[in-house]
Amino acid sequence: MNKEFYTLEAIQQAIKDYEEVGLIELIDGRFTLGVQSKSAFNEELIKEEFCNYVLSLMKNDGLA
Amino acid sequence: MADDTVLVIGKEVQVRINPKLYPLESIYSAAYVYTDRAYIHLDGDPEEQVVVSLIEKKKESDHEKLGNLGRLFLNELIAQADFRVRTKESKTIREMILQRALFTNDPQAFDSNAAVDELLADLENEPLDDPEGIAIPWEEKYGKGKET
Repeated sequence: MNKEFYTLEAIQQAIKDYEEVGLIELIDGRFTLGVQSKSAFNEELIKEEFCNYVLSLMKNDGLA
Repeated sequence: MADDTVLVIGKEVQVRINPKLYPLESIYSAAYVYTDRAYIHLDGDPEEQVVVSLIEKKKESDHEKLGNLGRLFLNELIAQADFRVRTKESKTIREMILQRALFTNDPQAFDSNAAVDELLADLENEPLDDPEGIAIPWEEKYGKGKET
């Protein structure tokens, strides 16, 4: 995820909210994410939904 | 608009946006509107070119549908940018309407009369666009003695 467009706070909050769906971790300071599914959903779907979710968190928090 | 503004690459459509034309906030708002239809990813450089990638949630999307999705996103972007401009333009009048409504319902809401006086003076001093002279009182326009 491009650091210029997504905030660390929103990503960290989304990681917490996604705990039951998959294991998502920040790999480096450039917001590279590792995704490992813990549910019936595949990693690709989790990744795509995660990006939308981060965007919605930023919008709700007035960061976007 | 350059030919590569909307670019279909495989199962996604990339929309390339000039951030000097559209503020970043409008891009976020447009992206948010499309989160129910597509998976959105923002990339690029906020100073030079913003790349919005959209993958439609309906898996049966073809090349043409993806192209349309990208162009619809551009329309939404214009709507969001316009909304921001209108919101900014009407900020003062909205504040005045709100203040007047609050004052009407609860005059004690204002701590001092100075704020109210200032508000009323602003309203009275607003230039009146009245080319037909409708706002001029009858007596002033035709004199007191004349009857219809």
